[in-house]
This record gives sequence, C-alpha cells and structure tokens, in this order.
Amino acid sequence: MDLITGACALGLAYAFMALGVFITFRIFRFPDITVDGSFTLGAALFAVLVPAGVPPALALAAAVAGGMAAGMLTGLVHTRLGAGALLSGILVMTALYSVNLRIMGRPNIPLFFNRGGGWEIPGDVAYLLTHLALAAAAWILLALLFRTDLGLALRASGSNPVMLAALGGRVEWMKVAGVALANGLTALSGGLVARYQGFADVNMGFGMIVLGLASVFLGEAIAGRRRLPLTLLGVVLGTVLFRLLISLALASGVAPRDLKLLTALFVLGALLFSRTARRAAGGRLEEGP
Amino acid sequence: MIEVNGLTRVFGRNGSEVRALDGLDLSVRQGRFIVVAGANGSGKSTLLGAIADTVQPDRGSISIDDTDVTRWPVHRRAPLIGRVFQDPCLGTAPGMTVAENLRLAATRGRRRTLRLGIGAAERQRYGETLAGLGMDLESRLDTPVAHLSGGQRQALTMLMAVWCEPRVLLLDEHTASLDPGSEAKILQLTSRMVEQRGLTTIAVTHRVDLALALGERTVVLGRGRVVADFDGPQREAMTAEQLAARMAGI
Repeated sequence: MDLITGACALGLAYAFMALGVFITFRIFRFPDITVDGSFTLGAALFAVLVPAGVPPALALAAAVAGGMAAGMLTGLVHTRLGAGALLSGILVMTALYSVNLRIMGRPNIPLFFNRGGGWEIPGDVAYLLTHLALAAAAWILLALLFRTDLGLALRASGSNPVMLAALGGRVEWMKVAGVALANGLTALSGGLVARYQGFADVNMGFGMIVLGLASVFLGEAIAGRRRLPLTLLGVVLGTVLFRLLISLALASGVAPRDLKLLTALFVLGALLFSRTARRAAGGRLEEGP
Repeated sequence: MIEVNGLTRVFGRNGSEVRALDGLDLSVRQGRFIVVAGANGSGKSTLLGAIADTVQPDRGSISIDDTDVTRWPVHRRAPLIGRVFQDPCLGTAPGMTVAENLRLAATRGRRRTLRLGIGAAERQRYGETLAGLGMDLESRLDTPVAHLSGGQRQALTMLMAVWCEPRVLLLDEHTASLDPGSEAKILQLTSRMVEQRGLTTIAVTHRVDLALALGERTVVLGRGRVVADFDGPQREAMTAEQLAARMAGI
C-alpha cells in the first residue's frame, strides 16, 4: 500500500513536467529539451529557498517563475536568433547546468523538514493529497486556458502557424509564451519532487524528457487525442501509471542500474500501445490538439 | 481599393537571379473582382505574397484604401486581408474543431484575451452561417478539421477569410487541389460571398477557363509584369484560345 501511495504521490509530482512536455511537443510541435534543465532549476530554487526561511508555497512559486524565465529564453533564442528548436533547448539546458550549480552552491542539497507537513496522517498520504489537489487545479486551469481566445491562438500557433499569422496572430510570441508556460510547469514539478524526495541534486533532471514523453504516450493511449481536456487528464494519469510501473519493477527486484534501460523500454512500449490504441479507435492516426 | 506601384522582387543572386516581379503596377477599385492569370513563374503567387506580406518586395509600394501598408508586418495587415490558399490544409488548424477555427477567424486582428471564446450564442451563429454554405458543415461544429473533406475544408477557409469583412480578399489558386465536384461548389460559393459582401478580390490562376469565368476583369502577367488587361466588353469578347495565346506570350 505504501508503495502504491508513494508512487502515486511521486507520479502526480512528475505530472506537471509531463503536462509541460505535452504542451511543447504536442500543442506547439516544439521539441523542447530545456525540460532537463528547468526541472532541476525548480528543485534547486526550492532546496535553496526553503532552508533560507521562505515558505514552501512561495519557494514553489519562485520555481515556476524561474522555469518560465528559462522557457522564455529558449523561445527567444529560437524565434529571435533563428536557432532550431532542438538547438535552442540544448543551449539553454547546457547553460542551466551551471546556473543550477551556482544556485545550489554544491551538487546535492538534502532537505530536512517534516514530510507530513504537520498533518496527523502518514507523510505519503499528505503528499498524495497535496499533489492531487495541485494536479487537479493545473488540469482545470489548463483545460480552461486552452478554451479561451488566447488559448485557441496558442494552439493554432502549433497546429498551423501560417493560418494564425494570416489571422493576425503573433506566432513567435505565442511560441515564446507556450515554451515559458511548459517550463514553468516543469520547474514546479522539480520543486515538488525535491520536496517529496527530501533533496535536490544537480543531475536529477537528466533524462527527464524521456520520462515526460513516456507519460504523454501513455496518456494519449488512455484518453486519445481528440478532446484536449481528456488528453490532458490522460497525461496526468499516464504519469502516475508510469511511476507505478517503475515502482513495481523496482519492488519486484529490478536492479536500480537497469532503470534507464527499463525506462526506455517502457517508452517504446507506451509508444506502440498508443499507436495501436489510436489505430483501433479511429482506423487512422488522429491529429493532435 | 488596392494599388500596387512598381513592385519588384528578385529571387537568387550572382547570375542566377529570377525577377518574380518586375516593376509591376496594378490598381483594383473597391468592390471589384479581378483574376490575375499567368503561366507558372509569371509572378502571380509572389504578387499575392507581397500583398499579404509573406514575400517582402525589394522595391515598390502597396496601398489599401489609400493607406501605404508596404512596411506593415503580416499581423498588422491581417485585419485588412482575407486569404485562401491553394492547399486546403493551409487555411485551417487541422487539430482544432470547426467551431474553434471559426472563433479564431472571428477574433482576426483583435487582441486575444482570456475570454472563453465559444458560448451558446457563438455556436448558434456558427451553425446558421455554416448551414448557408450548403457543405454539410453545420452539424460538425465539434469535428476536428482534419476529419473534413478537402472541399469542406476549403469552404470553411473561405468563410474564415471573409468572416471579419476584410478590405481585400486574396484567392491563391484556391480550387487547384479539389476534385471537379468540390471545385464547382467552391467556385459558386466564391462568387456568392464576393457579391454579397462587395469584397475587393484578387484571384490568381493559371487556368484559362477560370481566368474568364471568375470575376469581371482579367489581368495577364508575364515575367513579373502586366502584359494584358481585359475588362468590360473586351473581356466578354475574349475567347479561351486568345487568352491562352496572351498567357503564352504569343
């Protein structure tokens, strides 16, 4: 039971990162790997601010702001300097490694505080409920955002930038805003994971993009790609499911050193599952949101 | 009204220059529907691109309703210009629904805010307007555009292009990718929309039959210049063979 509760709590913390990956990859068609750096940035800011006396909620807000700034930088490098999407992400991600080390002052910061947050219930349950409430709020806000006029324009900038430009949309600014939003969510995820695990490590973002993609593929297999709110919910559920699978694999004796290999195999499996499910549902691959 | 003066655009350099537009002059009065015809490479699409600012001219000016828009970026020109592309996929967002595409068109050129865009009133209005197209779209408001046929998609693009009553409508060989049945419907729709709204319209085509069937004036381009301009009785008397000869530069 503890294993499942813990995996769900951690999965929900990672869900914000997966939502960020979904936004860049699926909505903006922007392969953004800033995620690996902005995840750690969120964790680093949280791990430095909380021991300095900043309330955890404010520290998480600072993490979001930091992640958004990193995403904005990636977007600006891409749109203003003309670098490709991949290169822009690589540049900012590389720079963030040094920035994160600067912020942390050392490669690893342990966090010692009451994991239960003062509640009269076991720690993992408290984390699960907090993360669940935050994930539900994020899901509702994102689903609403993408139904507003601004949200429709954000989606159109990924779906058909030529059309949006012809309709007076500022495609470049939409991209910058979208990548900033995605990295803000990713940094929030980093902060929550650092809070849950009780430490921040400068390498904790390594391979995060793969985890995010796995969650996205699983989510799309669960909820399909036709209705955006459902797909967003599917991504959250997909992240939790993915975390559960990892935890169950570790509990059943898989060596931690094989975890990356296992993760890659899960991603492949999720991708195949997603494609098969979509073909079975519609007879052809559906367009994304 | 739209006026193009001395428009020049050269692609390539160092001995391999192609003069897509070579000092082109063109004037279209308010509410007139003209067809720009020419062979491939005559400069038709470059002309439309320059008017819409997807192609930057090297020299010359473009005015819409006596306002010089030559240096205006594409998003600033957007409220003035409706455009329908040759490829039905270019005019709509495929992953978004019919209603969402229409909402994007309805906010053309306006500041897009956090207002929830599609309420019951909008849905009713969209449904009624789509029913008027006769393309079986009114019951598909929640269908992703990627699931529509090419003809339905182009009809939707037409509607989106004229939704906010632009000053100029640009049609870039907009039936070239359609089957004959869909083409006939879209051409009928085009004439109806332009006439009902009194839109200043420039359509480009390389097809002789369309150059004489659409609109009320035919301008022939060759090597980036206007080589012939037929209007009124002169155009009515023009045969397809004569026009084909002018387009071929004979």
